[in-house]
Amino acid sequence: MVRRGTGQALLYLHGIDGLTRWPEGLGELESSFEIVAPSAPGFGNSSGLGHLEDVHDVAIFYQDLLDALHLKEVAVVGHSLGGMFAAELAAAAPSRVSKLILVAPFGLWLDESPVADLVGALRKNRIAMAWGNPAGAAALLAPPASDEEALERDLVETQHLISSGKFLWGVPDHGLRKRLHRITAKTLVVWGNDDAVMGPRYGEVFASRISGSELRVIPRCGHQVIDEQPLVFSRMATDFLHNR
Amino acid sequence: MKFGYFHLMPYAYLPADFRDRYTSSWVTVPNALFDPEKGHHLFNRYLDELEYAEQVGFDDLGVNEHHMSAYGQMSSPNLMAMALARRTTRANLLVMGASITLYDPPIRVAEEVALLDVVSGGRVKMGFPVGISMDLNYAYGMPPAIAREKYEEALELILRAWSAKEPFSWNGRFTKLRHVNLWARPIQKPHPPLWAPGGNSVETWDICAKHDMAYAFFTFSNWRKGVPSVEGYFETMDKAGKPFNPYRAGTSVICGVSETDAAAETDYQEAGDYLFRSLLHVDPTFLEAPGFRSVHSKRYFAQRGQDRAKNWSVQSDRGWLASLKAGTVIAGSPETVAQQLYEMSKTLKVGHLMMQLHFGNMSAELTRKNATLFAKEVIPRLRGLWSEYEDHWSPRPLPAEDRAVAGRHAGGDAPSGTGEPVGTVAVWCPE
Repeated sequence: MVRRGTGQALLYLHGIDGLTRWPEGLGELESSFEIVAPSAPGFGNSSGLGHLEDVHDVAIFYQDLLDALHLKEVAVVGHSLGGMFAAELAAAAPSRVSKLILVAPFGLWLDESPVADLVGALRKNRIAMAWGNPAGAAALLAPPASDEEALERDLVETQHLISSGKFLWGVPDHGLRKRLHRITAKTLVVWGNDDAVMGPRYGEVFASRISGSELRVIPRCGHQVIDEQPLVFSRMATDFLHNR
Repeated sequence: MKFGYFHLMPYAYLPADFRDRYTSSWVTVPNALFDPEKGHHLFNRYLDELEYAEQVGFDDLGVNEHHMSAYGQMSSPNLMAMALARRTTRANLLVMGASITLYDPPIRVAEEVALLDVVSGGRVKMGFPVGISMDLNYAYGMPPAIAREKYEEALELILRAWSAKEPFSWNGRFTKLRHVNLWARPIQKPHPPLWAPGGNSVETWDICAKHDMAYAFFTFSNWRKGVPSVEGYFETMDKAGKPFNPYRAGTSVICGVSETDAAAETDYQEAGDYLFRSLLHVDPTFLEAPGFRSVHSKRYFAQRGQDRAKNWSVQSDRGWLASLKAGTVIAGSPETVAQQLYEMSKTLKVGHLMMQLHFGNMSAELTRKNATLFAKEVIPRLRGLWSEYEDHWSPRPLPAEDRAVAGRHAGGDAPSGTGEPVGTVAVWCPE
């Protein structure tokens, strides 16, 4: 669990990379919010993946976590895999989520533009799929300094993909569509215009099924929104969370 | 030493430019390339070839399971084994193997294997692989995070179902059944001998130890690269208190026998090139899903210099001659082949050789020649190996005189007998 910043508590649910990087866009929020960022079970040093069979278990898990943190009600930001988890939490326990920002969340499937297989792709293809601007992924693409480093990097990434894959493998649709109407939190849906995993049309469908929600599509931006457009994202998020 | 004739039943008619025009022979291979009429003749020919293998003296007739692939077309190995059960009388049905992870509920596999064992008179030699990533994770969409756990639960359920004498309920994580009650139960007690085909996972050895299953491993590279797999396996067995026995291990070999070493280079070149460059032209995306091997297994094999996906890609770039040079295949005169198989078997300590003597787009004529030469000239030279050990992992069928003969039970004339093994057994083992 990482806790950074000061101010109103903000639960951040990460994407398929876990918390290997602290996205620049979150850094921008630290001056106004205390970001509570748990590593999900199966990511980083967090155990417990075996206890989560499905998204319903995940929704219970995060309610348990909020209980343990004595957070009765909290604003939630979820990206990618974490976006799906955030939506499921907000739908299962509407009173626990004060405001919700869904950043390119998984959870829907459109036959006319199927979700790309991010988790099942070769590494170089996965990075190309996730990042609208490959320059942003330079660190990921840099060759490791040694065989040992390459192995360790590979094993950490493999574990994160195993954990992500538990929920995203194959056709990542676990019925969220029929639960979105339960979300009462004021919701902002954020999408990168060039998201190659799921296009902005997914954002439209999310927004259309969450009443009172708003969709913002960011130009020159892929799936890794918070990394790729940190300033645009943080300004958008800050305005939304402060009711502006 | 036991010898299996292991057929993969590949599609023989991929276009010559397949490798250039298409990205994969597996998962995304366009099924418009499958001609059902050609398939009709091909599958029937392949079944004939397996029956011939019994006639010339192979112990086991091998089939297996693959999906969405031109490389191996048997999406149901149990169906193929049943076809053989009726037209063979002596050889074992080596189903290497049937997926228990991908069948829901897994008792369907228990039932089918029981049917096979009953109809064949107790000749089933059964493999339960966790599976290859192309089939398991991509074709049938099993998330890597749960595949092995699902396999283990299915195995427990199947073993219980085979031996239960009364109905029971099963409240598992993946399968929940109020009534589990196999009507047709296997002839072999407690069940057909079980094998775990694998090669990439440390966890498979633990399963073998727990259930006393034999281990069949496959590499698509020089057989020496299989040493870490087999060493780790025997080490695990030793730690589990299982006495050493080479019959608890087997391996598969692509093999071509000709009159001379030089002839083997040319005789099998077309078929070998087709196998490696077309049939094994698999989109690398599908070779290893993240989590197909656990993090633990990845680390174990990486530390022993093994990179499975890399092996595969390297191998697919090679043709027959390069593969022969690299030791991925064994080919030559009967003496050469016997010598190399002897060395391999002694080093790896395997008591079962599952020979791939048909491969690629090999003609019917060459297939028959290879099977015949191997049976007549190679098997006798190796048969005596490991004779000091007892094989507990081959079937114990009903005695021949107690077994049904197809065609004799519904009235009418008896059919002509099946062939007897060709040649005598000459025991020859260099020491």
